[in-house]
Amino acid sequence: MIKILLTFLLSILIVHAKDIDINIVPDFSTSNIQLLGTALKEHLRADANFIMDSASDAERLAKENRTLSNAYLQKRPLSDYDKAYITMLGNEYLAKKFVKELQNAIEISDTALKSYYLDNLKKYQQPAMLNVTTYQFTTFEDALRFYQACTMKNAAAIQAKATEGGVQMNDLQLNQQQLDPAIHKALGEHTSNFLTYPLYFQENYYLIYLNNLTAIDSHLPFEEVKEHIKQALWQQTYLKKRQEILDQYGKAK
Amino acid sequence: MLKHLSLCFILLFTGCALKPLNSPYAKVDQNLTFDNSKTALLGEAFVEYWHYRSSRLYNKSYAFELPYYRYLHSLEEYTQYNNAANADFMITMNKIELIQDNIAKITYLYQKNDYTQTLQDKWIFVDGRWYHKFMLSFTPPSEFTPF
Repeated sequence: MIKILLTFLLSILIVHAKDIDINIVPDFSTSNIQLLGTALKEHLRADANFIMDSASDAERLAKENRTLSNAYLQKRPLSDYDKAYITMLGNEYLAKKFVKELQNAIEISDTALKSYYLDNLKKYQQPAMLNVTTYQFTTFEDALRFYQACTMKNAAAIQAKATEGGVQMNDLQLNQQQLDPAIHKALGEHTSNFLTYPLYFQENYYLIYLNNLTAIDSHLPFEEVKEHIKQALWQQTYLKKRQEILDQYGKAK
Repeated sequence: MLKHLSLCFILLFTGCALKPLNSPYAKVDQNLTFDNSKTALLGEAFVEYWHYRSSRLYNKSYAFELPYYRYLHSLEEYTQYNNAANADFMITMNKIELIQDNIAKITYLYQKNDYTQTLQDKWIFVDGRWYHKFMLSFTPPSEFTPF
């Protein structure tokens, strides 16, 4: 909440030619509420990873923040620490924006990006696909009973038993890299012919039989990872260039 | 397109035997033959590159380094690093393996005075040119592998 309040207060940040100066007074106007709502939505998305769908909710929250901050300011003046804290947030916000601008302005040739891609192909290997059959049960007891009865551990026998008992089955392909942690744990290091213990998902119990694993001998296409490579290279150079940038702009008056 | 056609034409009439730079520092083993135009180009680039490295012509060898390496490291850094390395050594290319369409592993012999060692290079073909993967040292830590 304090962060949201401070975000609102930043809306009256005044930038001078040489430095940032904060002048905060109660503000009862309503003309910029819509903009404050938009800023609040973006702030929540970027800093709190929270998506607020409704614009009117964001505006309402912005209004509430304004009411409370006005009340605070009417009661007492801002302390030097408050001012410093708000200035610090303003500096941080503008610094991030500036770095982003610098980042967007950099030019790295496609040849350079492609050379990184080819030199690091292993990073872009497509994940293997797991070919599985799922057996669905409504109660844990049913799932456990089936699991305990499946001593044969071979796909055909288990399927025959499931058909006989009217168990719902599904053949699926699962991406190894995006595997649910619970399934990953249950499968362990197995690569084929393995039945997991009962797993609970979305109000049902499942046994998962791993038939086999299909390794995909291909890589993510260059065009798909190009932007990611650009970011990676920029990060590496930025660490080196950071001081250069600070020196360059620190001297500027 | 015209560039590629001209290259094909040249290669067609020379049987993939492009003459690499005549260097006192780098050569291709006489028993090594190139299967196609792409590996022939690699042979040329390899000899030229190591000629420059052994002659301390770092501004020229720098142009053969991977483009992303050049984006990350300036010529000054590259030269500074290499100045501490050996020069006047002899390199002989012994073997080329294409480990992917555009990635090659070259095995070569390094000789300096009485010292000899077999080493490997990684070269990458990007936009019609072969580029060298620069290694920080002739003897990288054992857990480090370029492939």
